[in-house]
Amino acid sequence: MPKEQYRETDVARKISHISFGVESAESMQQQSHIHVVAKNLYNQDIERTPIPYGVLDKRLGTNSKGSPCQTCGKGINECVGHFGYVDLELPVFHVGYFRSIITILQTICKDCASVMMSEEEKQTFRIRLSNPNLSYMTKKTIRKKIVDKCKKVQKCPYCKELNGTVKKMTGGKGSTGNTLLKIVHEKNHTKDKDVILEKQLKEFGSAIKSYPDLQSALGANIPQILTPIDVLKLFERIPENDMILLAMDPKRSQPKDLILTRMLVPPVSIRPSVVSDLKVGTTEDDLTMKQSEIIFINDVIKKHKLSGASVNLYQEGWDFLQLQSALYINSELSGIPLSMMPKKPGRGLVQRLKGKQGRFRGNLSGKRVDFSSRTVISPDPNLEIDQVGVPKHVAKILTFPEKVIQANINKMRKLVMNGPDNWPGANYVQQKDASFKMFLKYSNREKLAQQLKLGDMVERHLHDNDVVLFNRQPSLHKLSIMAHRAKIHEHRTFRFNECACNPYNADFDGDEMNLHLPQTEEAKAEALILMGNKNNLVTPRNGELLIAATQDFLTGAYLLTRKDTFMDRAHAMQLAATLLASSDTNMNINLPPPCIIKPCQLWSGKQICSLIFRPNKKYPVKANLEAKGKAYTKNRELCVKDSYVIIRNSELLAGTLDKGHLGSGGKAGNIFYIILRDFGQEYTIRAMWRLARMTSYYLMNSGFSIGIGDVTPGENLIKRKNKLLSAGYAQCQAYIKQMTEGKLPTQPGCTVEESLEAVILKELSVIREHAGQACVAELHPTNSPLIMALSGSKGSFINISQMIACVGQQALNGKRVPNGFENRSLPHFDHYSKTPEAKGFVENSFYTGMTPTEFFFHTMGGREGLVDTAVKTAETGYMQRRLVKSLEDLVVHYDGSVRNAEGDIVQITYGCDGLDPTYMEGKDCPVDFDRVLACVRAKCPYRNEVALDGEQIRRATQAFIATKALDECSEDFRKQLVAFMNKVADMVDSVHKKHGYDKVINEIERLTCSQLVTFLETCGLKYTRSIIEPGTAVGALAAQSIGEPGTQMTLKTFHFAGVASMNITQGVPRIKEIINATKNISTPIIRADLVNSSDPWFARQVKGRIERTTLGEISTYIDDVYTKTEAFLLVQLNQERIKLLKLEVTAESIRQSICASKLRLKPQDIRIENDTVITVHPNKTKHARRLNFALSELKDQLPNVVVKGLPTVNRAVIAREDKGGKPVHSLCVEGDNLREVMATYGVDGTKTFSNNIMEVYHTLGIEAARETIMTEIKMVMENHGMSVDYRHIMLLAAQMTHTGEVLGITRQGLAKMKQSVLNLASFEKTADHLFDAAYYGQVDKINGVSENIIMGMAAPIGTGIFKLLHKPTHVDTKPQQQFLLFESALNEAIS
Amino acid sequence: MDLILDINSWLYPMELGDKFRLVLATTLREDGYPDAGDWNPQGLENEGSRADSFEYVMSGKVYRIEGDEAAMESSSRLSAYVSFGGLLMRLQGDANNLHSFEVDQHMYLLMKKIFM
Repeated sequence: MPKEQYRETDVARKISHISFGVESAESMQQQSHIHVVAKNLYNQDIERTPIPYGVLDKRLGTNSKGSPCQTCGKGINECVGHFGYVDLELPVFHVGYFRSIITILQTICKDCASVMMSEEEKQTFRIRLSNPNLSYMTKKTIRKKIVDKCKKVQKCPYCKELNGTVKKMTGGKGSTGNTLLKIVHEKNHTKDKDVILEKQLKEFGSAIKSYPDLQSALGANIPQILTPIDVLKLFERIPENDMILLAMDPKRSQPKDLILTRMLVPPVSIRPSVVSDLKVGTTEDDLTMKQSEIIFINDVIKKHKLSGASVNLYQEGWDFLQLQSALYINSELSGIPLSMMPKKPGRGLVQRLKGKQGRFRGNLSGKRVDFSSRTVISPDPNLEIDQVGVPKHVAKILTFPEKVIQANINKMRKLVMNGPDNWPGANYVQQKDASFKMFLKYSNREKLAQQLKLGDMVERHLHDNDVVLFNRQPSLHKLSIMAHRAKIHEHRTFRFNECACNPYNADFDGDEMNLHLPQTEEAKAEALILMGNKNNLVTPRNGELLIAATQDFLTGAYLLTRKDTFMDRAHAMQLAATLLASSDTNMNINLPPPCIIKPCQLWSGKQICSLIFRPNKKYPVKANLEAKGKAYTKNRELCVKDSYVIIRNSELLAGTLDKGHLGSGGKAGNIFYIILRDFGQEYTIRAMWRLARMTSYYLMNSGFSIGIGDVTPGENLIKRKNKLLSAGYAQCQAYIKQMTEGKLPTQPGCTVEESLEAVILKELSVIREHAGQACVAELHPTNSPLIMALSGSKGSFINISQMIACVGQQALNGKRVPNGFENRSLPHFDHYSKTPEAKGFVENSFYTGMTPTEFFFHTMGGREGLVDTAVKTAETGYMQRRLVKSLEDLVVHYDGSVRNAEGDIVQITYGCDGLDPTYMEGKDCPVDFDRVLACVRAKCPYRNEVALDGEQIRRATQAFIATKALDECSEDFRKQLVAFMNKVADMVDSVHKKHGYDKVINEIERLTCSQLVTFLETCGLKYTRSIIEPGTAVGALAAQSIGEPGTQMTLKTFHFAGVASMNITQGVPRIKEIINATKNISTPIIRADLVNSSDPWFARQVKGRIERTTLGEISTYIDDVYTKTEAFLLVQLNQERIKLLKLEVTAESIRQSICASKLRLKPQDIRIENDTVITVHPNKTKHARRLNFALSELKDQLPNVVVKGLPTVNRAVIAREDKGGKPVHSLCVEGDNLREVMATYGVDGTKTFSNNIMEVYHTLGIEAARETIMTEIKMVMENHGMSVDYRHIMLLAAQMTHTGEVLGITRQGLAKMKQSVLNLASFEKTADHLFDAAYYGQVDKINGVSENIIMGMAAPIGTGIFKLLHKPTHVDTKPQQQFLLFESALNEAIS
Repeated sequence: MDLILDINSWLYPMELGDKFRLVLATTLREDGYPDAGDWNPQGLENEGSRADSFEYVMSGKVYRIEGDEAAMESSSRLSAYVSFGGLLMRLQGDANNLHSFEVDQHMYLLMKKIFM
């Protein structure tokens, strides 16, 4: 009897959509069971029974085990609860709709209640709004348009009544008392005083008669307060036809319902009373308390009504009712008057929904789960890569429900017999026809085991090889949660092979991880294939290997494969025997012949290491690799450091293995990557595991530790270091001297001080670098830190140099230590001291110990690092959340397009080529031709075939392409392939041309026909394998791929190429700017190529045209001159400077600039005396009284007049680069206004780039903006050494621009991208989105990921994207038509 | 002919100026038949072997033969690369001298110093 297949429960009914609406008073009553009137909660008897018709009435549901619900009679677990309602004595505004109410009031006439628009206009809008396919966003914009139009109308076109502005009442304006949630209508906000007076007289006539003092108040604007009653009356009168113009759907939400006249009392099950043993009585929920308070105020108002209390008292009650009903909905109301402020802030309905712990994010989007566990992790190289060690204690608690079948009944009996306390046991048995589970601890297990029959369900313990999910927070990418095979052990921690540390970013300093057990076979299967650890060796971020050898494995492999590692037969055998474990226990190992036979038999480490990849001759893995190592110098494998690795047919022939060949992050140069791509994941993880075992065994036996001796510098090293130091110090002193003498050459765009800093910083960093090099050169090859640095397992040369030689310059904010005291960094130094030691250079090493000042500087640097990481984690976390939220819906569809939840196309083909970044072997292409060809040549020698010559290769390639074997590949790819084969053919030709034909010559570049075919087939296979699968959640992958590296970014700024002084924002802040689509970015820079790039003078000229130049900058002096008749300003231009800067200004152009400026000078006020002298004469008549004041004012302002260049440009710097020996000049412009820069004469407009996305968008359009987003993100990533596949960046850019405008990944942008209310509500501003949706009567189609998760359904993404259409084998014939009762009679009558 | 060769200098120290005899062979058997291919731990001691008359013997594999890129046109110097378990040998010379070299060929290197 097979286990029943997993079926979606209740498939007959599926939630197709959710519509939001505003509840009307009538429907509230209809769905309620009781009318709640009693303000008290409990009777004053001993049992404290709830008062009937109170808010805790037993008919509203139950929350105690003892008493069943009095409405439905069900117990606490079944009864969902029932609603009641409260009638409010006076209507009040609903806080959630308060804004909407105001906007409606602004749209309608406050007298006749119709929308204030002409009938024709109304009709056009009605047509637009009644479009059933209207998107949420456009609906909102149309409504905004209508509101804006109506706001301007002052006179109702229908009843001709005056209408003023309607706004929220604010305090201040002489208003006394409470201004909370009140609306004022400044009705008579017109200039026509008489009209107002007349009206007021009419209105207040009788009042004035009895109280004449009022007369004085007339004539002024008396704002009308629109009470909820007024508003309700108005809203009730809004014509049905006009409701559409409010963008409301009259079927779902009516304007009048926006005002509360009745409130629902929620079931008690959502607001349980807590009975405490310690305290007498109960603790009630905030909602219960608010409800009873509302009823209390209701009673008070009722009493006032009956007794005819004073208006003030009455109004006070009303205000209070308004406040309490508002607080019930949203307890975080702002602007509550102090006197009415509640003593303790409760939790309103809105507070229950919003925030991280709220209903949406805390309970609907993410839920607590069963069958999970968490404990500390530890490493275990003896576990296979895809295993996870699980403590027996955990295995006894996590259970899997296994159905009893013929094949497993005996095993199940044994498990049941063992019970819950002995490990391979079981906890529960669910018998086939029994209604409840049996707990095996206290039942007769013998008997149960005997009774076990087919179809029963046994909740058995976790076994070896069960599929479990393993996870470590923060789960930044999909590799943070992967499926492993369980391996039960006796200890108390989760264990796994260190190779799997990388994707989880785990270390073993006390980290804890979580483990989950999938509960169905289907879930297991899907987890194993999609999330399986061995299926995720490669990160989709850039296609690089992420699960790979780390730390000790690298050290061990490095030591083992060094050229001088030899071992005798016993050692070789023992080392080879470490491979025999687990499923390989009985494996054959073919030990190669010893490489040295005489004088004694010795095997080299390389030979033994080769066994890792290919232990015996039958093993199919024949990997080929040729790659440079970390220490590579020159001459390929004859490199003196033996750092050029050649692996031929899985045999390590030359080179020492290091991180590049074994560790994570590698692609082409990584042996595991090659095994993975050419032979599959199973062989890869086996090889990795063998490496882990062998190297850790080798390391354990050879011993590897670090001591003080390893960091003690030798005499020679000390000498070299001192020499370096004194030379560097002397150089710095020389620079400082130069500066004081004013001889230091400044760098372009820098002040003298900045230049000095730059050169000194450079000098000092050179010292540390050289000290590091000296260390590496001087240290003994057995030095442990050196070995670790060389093998890449831990630490760098800088770390070694800091320990042994010199800690180096401490940087704060990328600069030397700033002055914390008066003109000096610390009081131990002279004022204005610029010497290295005074600005944070630490010349000691950690070994020698630092001086107190050095130590202090070092802590400063250390603290900056700590603060930076702390700040960054929070920032990147939020960035990641936003990225994921905005991109989560993007899926590749069966037609290859990327679409969002609504089905809008975001990209026509994913990444322009439809390929999966995971499978990119070469640089952005699926095949690395050179590598594959070399591999095929080595792997399949075809020794009996003859080598082809060039012409034959070309013809064979063409013939193969013609067979259509590669038809699934793109045209582009085939072209690349042919081009590559032609290159190979050329090479073969050239060899033959040079050396002639000979047996041994044929060995060079040998390619036989079968090899060629194998090669082409392999390429085709690799290409088809890399085509992206439909359903891939490319959006989520892109978001993770961009967000995850963000956590690793450090430095904030970097220097612009060619220009030392120009810094541009980098790192997380820059990424944030880009994805937020910030308008004013912190460092806008325009890079402009020049029409004539070789001429520096031409560049200067163009620079002059662009850079903002003020009059003050080009004048020698500006003086005020007083003569007997005149008073004027004399401007002496500095002709020399103008000439030097190549400024295109003349006295005439300056005159025009001055006139154009804001100084209000006319052309005749400015006189040009000669080429270099301009006089400015302020208008005498205008400033007759105070001419001298005007003159001095002018004198202040005149130097700031912009005479040339763009006012937005602060600085333009000429960048000089050497390309092919020739200097190439271009301009770097700091500032905005791309349009003007492009249009400047001399600038090559087609080669001008800006880094300001919004500016590019406005200047060049959306496509250019998309391109800019891509290049900018790419640049940031590259600068931080982070490689991210271009497809991810492209998708992000496409998502930001696909609507036609640049939308940031912010809550504003997201609201424009998404239609779904639930999606938006689960992001930010939960309550606002929900109230909005209710107002518009929005329908959520539940297409996206978030919505489906919230509704608990499978989302149309990944394996959920396809739907099976069932074609029934037999179809019932058309059912006979059933006639209605009198239809025959009717038909007769007709005929 | 040019030769670059790594040797284990602890086992077999060599000084500058030493003269030596070097033989490359595809088999160690005296009769010249190819040996079994697999390594046999007992094998060598029993039969007579070419190795008996040499002081230093290594076994390895030819892994690459390439044309000399640096040399002038028309000259046909080739390089053969052999790896003896990581100890490398490059033999550079005229094509005629490297006639019987084949990629993936198993190869023995036998050495003996000549005293004069």
